[in-house]
Amino acid sequence: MSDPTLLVLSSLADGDKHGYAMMEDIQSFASTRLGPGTLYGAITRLEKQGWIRPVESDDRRQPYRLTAAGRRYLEEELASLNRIVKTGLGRLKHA
Amino acid sequence: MKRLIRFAAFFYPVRWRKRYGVEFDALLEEVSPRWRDVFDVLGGAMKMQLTHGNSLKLVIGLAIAGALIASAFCVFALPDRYLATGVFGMPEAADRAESVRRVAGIQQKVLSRRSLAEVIQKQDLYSKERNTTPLEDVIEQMRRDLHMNLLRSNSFNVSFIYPDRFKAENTVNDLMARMKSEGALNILTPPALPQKPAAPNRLRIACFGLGLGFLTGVAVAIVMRMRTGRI
Repeated sequence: MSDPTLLVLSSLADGDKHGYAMMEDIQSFASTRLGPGTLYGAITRLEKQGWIRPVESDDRRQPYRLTAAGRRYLEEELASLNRIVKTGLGRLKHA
Repeated sequence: MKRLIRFAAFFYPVRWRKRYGVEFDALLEEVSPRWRDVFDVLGGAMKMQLTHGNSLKLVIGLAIAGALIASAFCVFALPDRYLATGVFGMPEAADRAESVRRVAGIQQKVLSRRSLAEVIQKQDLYSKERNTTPLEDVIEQMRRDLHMNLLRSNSFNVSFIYPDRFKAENTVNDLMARMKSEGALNILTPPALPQKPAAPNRLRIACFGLGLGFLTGVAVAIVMRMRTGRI
């Protein structure tokens, strides 16, 4: 799975993170390294859609937080993916 | 590398940089830079220019991306090739046409299938190609890499371009020895060991990439403006 939107939302699901922390986190749980351009492309889109928002910080590194709308979207997408995974695995078992 | 990535980040739209510039620069300082990050940041900048930006930066960015891609292609895909050249003298001809005929006659004999097949075997040329393609194709390749040019009415040169500079020199020596036995020719300048590669012309290829990127940028900018109703 390499959709930057889902990867960023999943990364923020357990708490606020800044860009570099997201990159590291995504690398560890999805074995995918998002480049800086791809990551900030996703952050820009997600913020515009209201699914994440910046959290106040004194650091130059800006942390982001998942919004309620973002959480709902992520839950729906993951549930849909989960159904696909279950169906695929079930069919493989019976093949 | 970090400088190159920061330079690539310059191509993000001003409005975007005002909002995300500080945190994006902070991220760029933290990451261990890789070559693909340069293209990733350039690609990200192009996407932002398409959605938020201005056409000029898009054109410049694509032109630079084109030059970078062309240069990377040169470095990784095209090997250096060395040119060895020797010069022959021949008896003065009545006119230039006569000289051209003489050189063509020599060329025909030396560039014959049999002669070139012998040289290829003896000098161990095109070993990779010989494993994968028929000998006829390899001989054709050698004919393309070999040139004979009339210099004056009484002299002409023989040149051969090849990735191994020692083999390039030996091959010209071999060919000149064969030609000498074909007629009343004397070697004016034997081939010297080439010191610098003659090809590929990396600057020209980078310029080509720059031009191609520029044209692509102009085309994308026009499409963008048409979509936004500015044309």
